[in-house]
Amino acid sequence: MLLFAWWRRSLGLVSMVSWTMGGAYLLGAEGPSFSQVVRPLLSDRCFHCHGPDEAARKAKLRLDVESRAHEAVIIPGESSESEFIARLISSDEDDRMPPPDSGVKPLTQSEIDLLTAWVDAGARYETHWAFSPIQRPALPSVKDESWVRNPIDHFVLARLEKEGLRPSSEALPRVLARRVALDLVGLPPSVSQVRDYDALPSDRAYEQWVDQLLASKRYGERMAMVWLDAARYADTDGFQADATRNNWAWRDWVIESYNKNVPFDQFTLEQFAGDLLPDATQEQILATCFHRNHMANGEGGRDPEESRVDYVIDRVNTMGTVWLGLTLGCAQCHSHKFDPISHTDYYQLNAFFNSIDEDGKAGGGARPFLEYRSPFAEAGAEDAKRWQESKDREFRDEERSARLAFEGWFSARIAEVKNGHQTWLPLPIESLATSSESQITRNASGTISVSGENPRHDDYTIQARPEISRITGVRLEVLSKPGDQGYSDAEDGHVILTNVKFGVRSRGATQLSEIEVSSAVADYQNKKKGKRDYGLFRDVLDDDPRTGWTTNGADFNEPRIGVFQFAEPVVLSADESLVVELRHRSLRGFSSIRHFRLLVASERGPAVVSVDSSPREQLAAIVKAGGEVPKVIRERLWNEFIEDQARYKASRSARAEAQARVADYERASKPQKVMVLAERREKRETNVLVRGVWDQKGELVSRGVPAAFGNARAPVESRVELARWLIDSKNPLTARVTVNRYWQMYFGHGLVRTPEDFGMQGEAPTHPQLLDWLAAELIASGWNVKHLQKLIVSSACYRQQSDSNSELIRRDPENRLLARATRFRLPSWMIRDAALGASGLLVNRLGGPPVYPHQPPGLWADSTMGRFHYKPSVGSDLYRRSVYGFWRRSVGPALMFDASKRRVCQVRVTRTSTPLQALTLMNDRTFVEAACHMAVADDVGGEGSIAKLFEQVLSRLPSPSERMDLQEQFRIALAHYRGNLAEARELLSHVEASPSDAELPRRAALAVIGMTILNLDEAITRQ
Amino acid sequence: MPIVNNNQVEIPEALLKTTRRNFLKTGGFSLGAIALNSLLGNEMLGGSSPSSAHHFPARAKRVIYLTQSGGPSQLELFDHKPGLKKWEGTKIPDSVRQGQRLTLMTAGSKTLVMAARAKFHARGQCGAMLGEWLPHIGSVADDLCFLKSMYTEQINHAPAMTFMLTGHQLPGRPSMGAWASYGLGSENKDLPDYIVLVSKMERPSDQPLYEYYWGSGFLPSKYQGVKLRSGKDPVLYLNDPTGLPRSLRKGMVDTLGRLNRERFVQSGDPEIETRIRQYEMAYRMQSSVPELTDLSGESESTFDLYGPESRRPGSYAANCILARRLAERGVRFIQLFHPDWDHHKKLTAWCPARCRDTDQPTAGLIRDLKQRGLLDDTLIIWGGEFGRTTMAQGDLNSPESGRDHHPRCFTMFMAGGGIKGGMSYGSTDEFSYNTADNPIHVHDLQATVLNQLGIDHRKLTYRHQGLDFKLTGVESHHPIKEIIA
Repeated sequence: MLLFAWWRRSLGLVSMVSWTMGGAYLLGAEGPSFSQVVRPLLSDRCFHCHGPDEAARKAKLRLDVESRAHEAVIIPGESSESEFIARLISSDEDDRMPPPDSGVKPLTQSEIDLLTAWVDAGARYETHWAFSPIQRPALPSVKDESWVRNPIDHFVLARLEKEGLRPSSEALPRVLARRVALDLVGLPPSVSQVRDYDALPSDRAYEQWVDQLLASKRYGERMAMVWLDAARYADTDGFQADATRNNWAWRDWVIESYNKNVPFDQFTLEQFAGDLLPDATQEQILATCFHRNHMANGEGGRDPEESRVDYVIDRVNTMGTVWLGLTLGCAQCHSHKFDPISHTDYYQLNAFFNSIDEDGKAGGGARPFLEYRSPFAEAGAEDAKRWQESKDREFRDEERSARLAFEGWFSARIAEVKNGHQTWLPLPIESLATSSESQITRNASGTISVSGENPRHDDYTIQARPEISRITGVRLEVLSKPGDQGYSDAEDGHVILTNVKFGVRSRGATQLSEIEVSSAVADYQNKKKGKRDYGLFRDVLDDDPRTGWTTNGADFNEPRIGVFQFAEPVVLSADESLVVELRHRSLRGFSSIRHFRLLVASERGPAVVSVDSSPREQLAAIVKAGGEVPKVIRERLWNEFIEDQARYKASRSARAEAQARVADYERASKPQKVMVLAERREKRETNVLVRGVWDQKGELVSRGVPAAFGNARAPVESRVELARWLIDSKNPLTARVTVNRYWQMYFGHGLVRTPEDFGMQGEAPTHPQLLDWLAAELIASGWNVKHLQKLIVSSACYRQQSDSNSELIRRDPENRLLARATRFRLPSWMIRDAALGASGLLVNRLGGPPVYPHQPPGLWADSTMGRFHYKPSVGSDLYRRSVYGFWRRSVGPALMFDASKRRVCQVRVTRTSTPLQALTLMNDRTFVEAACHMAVADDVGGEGSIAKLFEQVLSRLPSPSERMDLQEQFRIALAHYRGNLAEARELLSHVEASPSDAELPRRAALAVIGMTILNLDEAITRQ
Repeated sequence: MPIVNNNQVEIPEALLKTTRRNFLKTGGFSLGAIALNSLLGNEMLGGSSPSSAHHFPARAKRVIYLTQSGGPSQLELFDHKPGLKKWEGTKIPDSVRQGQRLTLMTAGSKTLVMAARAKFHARGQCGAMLGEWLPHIGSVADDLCFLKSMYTEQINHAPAMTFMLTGHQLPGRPSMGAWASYGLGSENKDLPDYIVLVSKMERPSDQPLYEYYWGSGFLPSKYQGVKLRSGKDPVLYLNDPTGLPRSLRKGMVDTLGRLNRERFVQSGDPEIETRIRQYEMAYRMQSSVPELTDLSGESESTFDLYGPESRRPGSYAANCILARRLAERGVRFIQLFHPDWDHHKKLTAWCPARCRDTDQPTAGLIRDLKQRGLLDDTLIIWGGEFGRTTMAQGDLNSPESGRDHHPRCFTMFMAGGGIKGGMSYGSTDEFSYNTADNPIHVHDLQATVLNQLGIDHRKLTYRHQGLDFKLTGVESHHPIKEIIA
C-alpha cells in the first residue's frame, strides 16, 4: 500500500480506484502498466525536456517515443545496463535526472523502483488510451445479473465485484424523482408529480417520468446553461469598454436545438460552419455565433490586429477543450510539452479561423453580423404591454388622489405667502477654514471673504448650522470684488472652481457623512473646448481637478449664482452641522473665489433645480399684486408638491419603467445584429507565431489537422471539413469527451475527472471500457443526445442511493467506483431556479432578450467604478430562469458563485463552500421573495403549512424531529412578530400581495421557516 | 445510531474525523504541502505547529499592498534625473530607445524629452531625493526601501496589472493575495484571509479594476479576495433582509445547523459539515465586518495622522485606517486600490491630485503601524503596474501635456516586514528610460513578497490542467536578497 501512497501525493491525479485495487492492477505480469503508472511519471518528470517539444528538448533525447527511447537510453529487460536508470540513481548531482536545480520534483526511491521494474519487464510503450480508436467493448460478465438494468451496469458492477464491493440499494422514489428532475430540467418536481411516482414507483412509471422530463421545454434551458459555459457566451464584450452585444438569439438557438434533440454531429457542424453549408438557413448561420462568443477588446491604444489574432486563438483553444479534450493552447508558444501537438499543428488549426471577415474590433464594429429577427421576443413583448397597461391604470388612480390633495396644499400656500416669501435663507456660519495661508472671514452682511495670500490651490471648508429643519439645496453666490474688478485675484479676474462637496458632521464625531447631490446649475457657463476643460457647473461634482466651473467670459458687474439640489432632503438633528467644501485645484491655479455667500432652501423640486425665482416666490408676487395664479406657476407648485408624495412618485417611476420595458421589447422584436462567421473573399495567410506573439510571424502554414490524429478520410481544408473531422466516427476524442461531459452532469464528475484534458497530463478514466462503450453507443445512435442521457439515468448505477457509510468513505471517499450515487451541491444558477420553481414564482417563458434579476443595489457601479449601472427588470422578467439573465463579463451575476466567468471556455465544474455563499443564499432578495411568496400563497393554516413548504422545496415530508424543530422555530418567530407588526410588514413587503394585519405575524413567521428550508443543505443539493 | 438530545443531533466523532480528513485530502483539488499543513493543522500532523507551514521563518505575518492603478510617474515622484533638463525638447537618442514599442496613443507623434515637472528635495537621514508632491511620504523616507529598477513586460493597463498581481498577463491565474492565503491559511476565524479595499471616486474611473485582480483563478474560490464596499453593505449580502431581526436569524442558523447535522448522519456527506461551518462563519461575519468598518471609535489624533480625507468613508485615507484595523485583526493579505494615476494629459493637475489623495494617508499608515509595533511584521508595498515615458505626450510646452505608459522602468517602494528602511535599490539610465543596475522583474518582486511571508516561491505550486503552476512563472527569478534586513 505504501508504494501507492507516494503516487497519489506526487501526481495528485491518480485515482482512488487504483489505490483500492491494490498492486494487481498496476503491477501485472508485464510489469507496471505503462499507461497507468509509467507514462504519467515520464510525462511529469521527463517530457518537459525529453518530450514532443523540439525546441525545449535537451541532449536530443526523446522519451515519449518508444523507438527513440530504446535506441538511445533504454535496453529493454536490462535496467542495470540502461543509461536511463543509471541517470536516475546517479549520486553525481551533475548527472542525476531530473536535474536537482530544474525545479522538477525529484523521483522518490519507490518511483525509481517502479521505472526499474518497467525496464526489466521490457519497457513496452502503449498508445495513450484517449488517442486509440474507439471500439465497443464486450460487456463484462457479472455475478449479480439481477442488479443490471442496462449495459452501463455491467461495467460498473464488474468493477465493484472485483473490488469486493456491493452497489447501494435504489434511492427512495421521492429522492429519485427529484434527482432526475434536477438533472434533466434543472427544477424540482411539483408536489403532485412526486406523490404520483411515490405512490406507484414502477419501472414503467420511472420511464414515463424520464420521458416527460426529456420532452419538457425546460430541458433545453437546463442543457443550454452548461453549453453556454463551454461556449463562453456572454452579453458583453469584456475588457475595458465591455460593450453590450446582441447575441441572445444564438442562446435561444441552443435551447431549441436541445429541445429538438438535434444530433450532436449536426449541432457541431452548424456551429462550426453553418454559413458554408449549401442553401444555409438563417438559423444555420446563426449557429456559427458559437465561434464569436469570445471576448472582444475595444481598449484604446490596442492594435486591432492583436485582438483579431487573440480571437482566432480563442476559437482553436475552445475547440480543443470542448471537442477534443486537449489543452491545445499549450502549443501557442511552443510545441506541446506532453501531447503530440506541434507548434506548427497549432497554427494549422488557427488557419481555419484566420480568414473570417473580421478586423479585430469590438462593440458595433465586430463584424461580420447576421441581421436576425428572433421569434422569441414576441411573447415577452405582449407580457410587457399587459404590464404597462396595469401600471398605467395604477398611476392614473394615484394621480387623481394626488390632484385632490394638491388643492388643499395650494390654498395653504396662498395663505402662507400673503406677507411675501423668501426661499433662500442665510446660512449661519459656525466655522471657516482654508487649506492655505489665506485668511477667510465672515462679514457683517453674511457674506464671506478670503484675503491675504493668493495660493495656487486653495480649499475652503465652511461649517454651518441652518435654522431650517430640512435642507433641499444650497445656493452659492460668487460676488465681485469691490468696484466690479473681478471674482478672483487671477490676472483676468476669473474663478475656476474645481470641486464642491457637502457633508454632515455630528458634534464630537470624527467622520463626515457625505450628501449626494443630484443636480448643479449656474446662471453662467462657459462653453468648453474639450471633454476635459473648465466650463460646466455640474463638473464641480466629479472630483476631477481637470474639470470644473469657470466664470471666464462673464461680466463682473453681477454676482454669479450656482444652485445645488440634494438627492434627498437632509434633516439635521440638534447636534449636526452642514459642511460645505469649495475646492480650487485647477491646472492654471491662482483662481480662487474671493467673495461669496451661501444660502439654503427647504423647498423641493423647481426651487432647487434652477437659478430662477422659486414657485412660492412667484406665487407671493402674484398674491401681492392680486390676480389669478397663472397655470404655469400652478404647475410649478404642483411639481414642488409631488416631490413629497412618495406613493405618487413610486407609481410614476413604475409606469416609466413599464414603458421602457415595452420599448425594449419592441426593439428586440426587430432584426438584431448577431455576430456570426463569414469567410473573407480572399484568404489571409497564416503563419506560425514565434513564441505565440501576435506580430512575430514565422513559417507559413496551410490548413490541416494534427498528424497524430491522422484519421481524416479526405484533406481537411475548410471549416466544414474541420467539423466533419471532429465528428468522424474514427475521431478518437470527440465522442469520448462528449460522453464524459454528460456523465459529469449525472455523477458530479466525469469518468475522466479532467474533462478539459484527455491528454497525457489528464487523469485516466475510472471506467475506461464504460467510457468507450458509451462513446461507441453515442456514435451508433446517430449522436442522439437524449438517447444517451436516457440510458444513463435509466441505469441501476444512476438509480442508487447517494448515502455513504464509514466503510464506503474509507474505501472510496471520492466515489470513483460508483458503489453509490453522488451527492453534490447544485450549481448556483440551479439553486436560484429551484427556489423560484418550488415557491411558484418561476415564470416559464422561453427565449427572448436578456433579463435582469435582483442584484444588490449599486453592484455594477461599484465594480466598474461608475461605468455601468444595473437596473433590475420589472414584472415577470424578474422571475425568469437564470439562463436568460444578462451576463456582463466585467461583473458577473452576483448570485452565480462557482460559475464559469464566461471569459474563456470552461467545462470543469467547480464546487466550493464559502461563507460568502451562505450570505448570498440567506440574504439575496430572490430567495427572500421566494420564501415570502410561499408564506403568503401556501399558508393552509395551522402548522400543516410548515410541512407543505417543506415538501414543495424538498419533495418529501419532514421527519418528526425536523417537524418539531421547525415548529419550535415557527412559534418563536410568531411570538416575535406578534409583538412587532411593523417588522412583519417590512419582511412581507418583499411580495406584492400584502396580508391583513391579523395575518401578518403568522405569514412573516412562515416566511422565516421558508427561508430556513430554502437554505437547508438538502434544498441546495442533488442527492 | 445518532444520539438525539434536546433536538441536538450529535455526530459520532469518529465519522466526523474520517470524513473531514478525506474531504481535505481529496476535495477535488490537490493542495501544495504547505497549504495542506496549514489547513490540517495539528489534528492531521500530530503536533506540528502552524508556523511549520512555512518553508522558513516568516519576516512578515501580513501584507498591505497599496496598489496605485494607472501607472504613477517615476519621473515626478521618485527617480530624480536633474540631467534631463539639458535634453528638454530634444528627441531621445535611438541608442536609448532601442526600438521600443509605443502604445497607439503616442506611436507616430513627436515624443520629445520632458524633464520632471516637480522639484526634488533630499528627505530623511537617508537623504532620498523625492518629488515635492509627496511631502508626507518624504517624511517617513527612513522607513522606506525604494525599488527604482522595476520593469514589466506589459504596456497596457489591464495586462500589466494582471501581470503584476497574478504573474501572468492573461486573466485566469490566482492573484498574489490568493496565493498567500492558499499557502498560509487563516489567522482570523471571523474574517476572510484576503481583503480588498477600493477607493470610492466621484467620477467613473478610466481604468476599471477587474474583480479577477483579486480573484483566486484556478485555486478554490475560498482564497479569493473579499472586497469591502464602502457604505451600508460592506460585504455583498452581509445585511439581513429588512424585517428579519438578528434573534430570528440566529435561530435560523442554529436550526439549519441541527437539521443539516441530521442529514449528515443520514447521508455521511462530509460536505455538509463544511457547509454548517460556513453558515456559522457567515453569521459571525455579520457582526465582525460591521465592527471592523465602524471607525467611530478612532481618535481625533488618528484622523489627523491620516489626513482630512480620512473622515470620508470610502476614501483612500479612510481605507488606510481600515487597513490598519485589518492588520490588527490578523488578516493575512490586505490590498488597497487607488485608481486614476494615468496622466497622459494635464500631468501637473492629475498627478498631484492622486498624490494629494494618497500621500498623507500612506505616511500616516506607516507611522501608525510603527507606533503600534505592527510595522516590523507587516510588509507594505506601494506601486502601480508600470511607469511613465521620459517623453512628453502632447505639446511639450503646454500644461496640457502628460506622459504615456512605460514598462521598461518604474519605481515602487516597500516598508516594514523585514525589509531594510532608508535605502534605494537598483537604478535607471540618465533618461529614466531603461533599467541600469540590478533590474527587478515583476516575478522577483513577487518572489520577495512570498519570501517575507516565509514561503519559497518555487515550492508554492498548484496543479491545474496537468501542470504545476506558481505565481512567479517558469523562468528563474529570485527574492531580492539585498533589501532584506
